[in-house]
Amino acid sequence: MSKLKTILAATIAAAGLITFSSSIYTIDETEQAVVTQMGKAKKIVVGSQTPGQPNDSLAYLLDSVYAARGFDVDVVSRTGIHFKTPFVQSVQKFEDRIMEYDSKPSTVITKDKKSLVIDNYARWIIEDPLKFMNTVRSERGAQSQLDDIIYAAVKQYAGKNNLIELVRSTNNMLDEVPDSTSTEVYDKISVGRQIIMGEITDLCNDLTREKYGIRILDVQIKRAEYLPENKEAVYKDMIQERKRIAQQYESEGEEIKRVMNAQTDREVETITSEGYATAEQINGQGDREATRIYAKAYNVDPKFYSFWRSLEAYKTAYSSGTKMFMTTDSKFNRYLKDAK
Amino acid sequence: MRRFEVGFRTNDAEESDYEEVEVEALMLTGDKNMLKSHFSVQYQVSDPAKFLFNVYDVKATLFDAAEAAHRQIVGDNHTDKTMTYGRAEIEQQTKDLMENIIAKYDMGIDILAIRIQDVDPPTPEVESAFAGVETALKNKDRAYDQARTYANEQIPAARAKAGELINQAEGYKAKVINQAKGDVARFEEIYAEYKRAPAITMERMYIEAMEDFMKRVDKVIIDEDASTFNMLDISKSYKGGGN
Repeated sequence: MSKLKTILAATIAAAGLITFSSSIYTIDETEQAVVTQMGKAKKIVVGSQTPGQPNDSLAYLLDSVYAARGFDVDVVSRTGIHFKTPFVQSVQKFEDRIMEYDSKPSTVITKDKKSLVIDNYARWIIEDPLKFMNTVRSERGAQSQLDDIIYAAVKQYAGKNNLIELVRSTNNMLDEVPDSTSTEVYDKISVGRQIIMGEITDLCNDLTREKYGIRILDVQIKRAEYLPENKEAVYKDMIQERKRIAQQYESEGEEIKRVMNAQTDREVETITSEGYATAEQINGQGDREATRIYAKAYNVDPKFYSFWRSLEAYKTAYSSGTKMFMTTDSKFNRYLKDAK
Repeated sequence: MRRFEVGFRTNDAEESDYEEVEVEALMLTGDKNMLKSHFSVQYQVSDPAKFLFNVYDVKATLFDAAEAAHRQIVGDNHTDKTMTYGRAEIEQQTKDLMENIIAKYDMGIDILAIRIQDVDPPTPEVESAFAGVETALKNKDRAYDQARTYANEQIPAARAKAGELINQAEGYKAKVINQAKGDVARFEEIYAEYKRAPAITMERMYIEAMEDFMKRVDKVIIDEDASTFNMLDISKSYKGGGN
């Protein structure tokens, strides 16, 4: 008899345990949940961005939204242990964390007919778990919907803008020309990457909130590249530009050398000719002074000078071997004839 | 403090040895060129709860944000600046933008620093073109140095030569003046002597000069009364040489 009692007690205990475990569930900081009964939502547990702080404002908002639509749904925001009707109600949990969407790189055509291979990412979060559940059903399901929406938006904005608008965000670069040899004229952007991505984010966010209860935090260009064949052309351009700059430096060097050397040669010319001139001047001074000295001395008695000078000349003017015919009439020889 | 790398991975063995991840490194520049940038991100957890509970894949989120931020900044500058003088500025701007991006995610993470390891041209061919510019710049400097050397050789040499010419002239001037002074002094001595006894001195001078003169020349003395015949004879003997 007691054995039966034991079995009965055990069975009741087991049943109670099962029932109990079916009536509680926990929600941790990374989770949200929807409690359903016969396919109808009964309760939503929304997550909060700040762990430990319930998101009462969102809960209140959703509550009023659903109430207005005539849904009989209880919206709370609280982590920890929750209770539900066992067996009849079931819980479906969803992520409360910021999720990642990463597209495969896809090609877009810009307004100026350039191709760009763009790799986007987006960060999103489930804002309304019920709507999310009713539409995309799960995080996995969300990916393909996000794919379509985001790609469509990126393609649309790319087509409306020139390539440069997707590359640059500001015109700051235009004020900084790298070197004076650059012949490039840089395009001015009117919108820019940052603004475009902001607009894409807003556009997508409005759509996903409306349709899927997903809030998109941002859409960013992770990578943007040229098509392989375009890359080659770009590399060629870069090489050409570098070669041009190198050539410029070479000719500048040659020019500098030419100009400086010419200047040096001119200076050498000047120095040398001035040297000659000064030397000539000094020579002239010497000659003049000597002449002055001679003149001053000889002018004291020009006749005597003439006499003396001639005698000096006779001493040296005629070399040996010169033949001279003289008569006895000459002054020198007069005594040869007679001693008068 | 935690760290991750974008565009490259350091080989465990040595810090200086790393492998490139081209897909992460290749990016567009503001002047529509391409380059390869390799950088690392240092961060720390400032709020453990947020760090654990707010984001589904923290690593991927940080990585994506880093790439997006850096590429946006590089896409806003020209090639030269990113490759050379602009690195510090680009590191700072990348850090600021990345912080801006992850602020929305409330990750409980502080970005400490962005450090650019290397910025390279996109292909080896482009790289050698860049190297060519370096060489050309060096050549330009060298041309300048050569011109300066030429000047430093030529001008002092010219000055030296000019100085030499002037010295020679000075020498000539001195010589000529001294010569004059000497000659004049000699003359004045003789003149003084002459002044003391003019007629006699003149006579004596004349005779001395003639004496000297006669010593040197070949003389034929002809009596002025000599006949023509004698002269003819004399001229014959003259032809044979004589004294």
